[in-house]
Formats: sequence, structure tokens, C-alpha cells
Amino acid sequence: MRRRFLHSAPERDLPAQHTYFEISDLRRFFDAGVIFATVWVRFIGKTSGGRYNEIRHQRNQGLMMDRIRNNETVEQRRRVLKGALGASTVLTLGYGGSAAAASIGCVKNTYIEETPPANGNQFSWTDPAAMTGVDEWAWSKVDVWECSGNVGGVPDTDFEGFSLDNGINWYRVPAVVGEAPTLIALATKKSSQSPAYPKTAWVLAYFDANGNFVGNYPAITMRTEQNTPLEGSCLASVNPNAKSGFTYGG
Amino acid sequence: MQPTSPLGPLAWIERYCPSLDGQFLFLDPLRWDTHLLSAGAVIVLREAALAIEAGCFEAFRAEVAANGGWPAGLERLAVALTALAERAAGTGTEA
Repeated sequence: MRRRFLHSAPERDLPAQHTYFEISDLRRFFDAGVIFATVWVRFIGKTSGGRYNEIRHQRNQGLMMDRIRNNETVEQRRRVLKGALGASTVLTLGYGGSAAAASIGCVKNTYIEETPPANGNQFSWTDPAAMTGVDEWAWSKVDVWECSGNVGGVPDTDFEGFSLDNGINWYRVPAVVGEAPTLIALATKKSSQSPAYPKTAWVLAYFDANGNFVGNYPAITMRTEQNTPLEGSCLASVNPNAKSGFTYGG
Repeated sequence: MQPTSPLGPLAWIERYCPSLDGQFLFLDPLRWDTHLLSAGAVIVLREAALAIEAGCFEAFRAEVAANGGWPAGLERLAVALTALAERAAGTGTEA
């Protein structure tokens, strides 16, 4: 739901004088975002590091504007704002600033702070984009087919199932929301399908620390810092190339 | 699947504007591209976020205009933060 909103939120036109300094041209001279971001940061830090470090220290302490707001006058605040405006620079890195984005550390933050859908709730018949939650977890779409296999010790039992590996293994979809899909032994997709099939369902996708897709639930159930569901905003920052192909919601 | 509160402008800056060797990296919440900001720009963005959350962003824009106007590129980022507040208030436009 979050992603739909963000993408649909209107973008404002900016006055002509407010233009970005696009550095995409400069990026041609660097092979990777790591080199690119590092060079820029080090260059700028070398030219004005002392002043920025002092201001950063005050900001990181959460003191500067709060102190001004609490204890000083409107005029003093205005002067600080004016000074900040004069000392402001914006360099657009675009989507290619992989090193810069990686430094955000959102994968780790996601692992530590966020709570993705758990257990059987990582399988859903509901389109994630239509889920009532405000999160934007990445989900993979799966086709659900009529299958046959050994269910509960009974061979050749029909069930609704999906595969994550092009039909090698088949999972039986849970009968109750929140239950986990089960891997069915000796299962196959039936050669003859009712018109209602395939149905569509979604399973939660897992990514490594660099935002690379590593697999889907229920093939992966163990969440670690190196193997975790991610939200679209984080995925877009650490690995924008991986962002397409998933459905976001939760 | 528990709904959580969406990030507001200030919380977004806290999470997606980390320090990097004296500069700051900001993730645009609308376009999801990244920007390298000076400390001054972060102060301005933080003030903008405070104003947005206080519902007085237009007054803040007027204040900026009275103090020499927006540095290149910064207004766009401040405006992008308003989308977070609109989303939190549920006033966004669905696709």
C-alpha cells in the first residue's frame, strides 16, 4: 500500500531556477558506484570537512535547532536558517549510487527493527497491493495449479499447489489462512486443469545484505540479517535493479 | 502483517539521511533516488520536516524565500517530504 501511494503522489513542478546538478555525466568516469560515491565524499570532505564536521557534531547531538527553538529568539533562528540555506549543497546521485545507498544500512535496520509477515502469513491469496497494512514488503507472485501427490500418506491425492522451482517441488496451499504451505512428496501438476486455474497467490521474497533476491517462502523460512524480507524503499536504495518483478504491500 | 505507522518526514530523515564522512546521504521518498547533502542542507530539510509535521510548510517556504530562496535541488526534496505527511494523514491519491 505504501508503494502505491508513493508512486501515485503528485510530483510538483519546480521553478526553472531550481535545477539539480546532475552528476550522471561524471559517473561515466567511474566504473562503479563505490568508487563514485567515495571519490565525491572524500573530495568534498577534504575541501570543507572542518566546518561540516563541527556542524554535524552539533546536529548529531540534536542540539542546534532545538536549542535555538527553546532558548533563543526568532531572529537568531532566522539567522541560522539563512546560514544553513547559504551552506546548502545538493548533489544528485540518482539510482546508481549503490555504495551511497548501501551505507544507509537499511537491510540491517529492516532486520533489527521491522516485523515482516511471519510463518504461514508469508503466503497470501490477497494481492499485497490490496492488503490493509501500510508496509511494502516485496512479494513474489506464484501460480496455483491443480496437483496430485502423496498427501498425508495417501498417494495420488488431488490438491491445490504451487512450485518455486519450475515444477520440481510442489507445495500444497494451506486450507486455513495463516497456516504454512506443505511440501508434497511425489507431486506433479495435473495435465488437465479446470478453467479456474491457474489461480494467483503471493509468497514473501527474501534478499541478502546487498538486496539480491535469494528465494521465496516457504523454501526459505529462517530470517537472518543476510537473508531477510525487504521493503520496497530499502530494496530500491540498495539494489534498484532488483526492485522490478515483485509486488509490494503488507 | 500487523499494520505499522508510516514514517513521517522527521522519522524519514532520521532513517534515510545518514552521515557519511561529513556529508549526508538522503533517499528521496518519492523518487527513491539518492542525494549527497551538506550539513546545511540537512538542517534546512529538518526544519522543513518540522514545519510539515506542524502543518505550516507554506509559512516555512515563505521564510525560506525571505532568506534568499531555496538552494538548487533542495526544495524538490522538501516537497517530497510532504508526501510522507500526506500519506500519514491518509490524504494521498491512490493509483
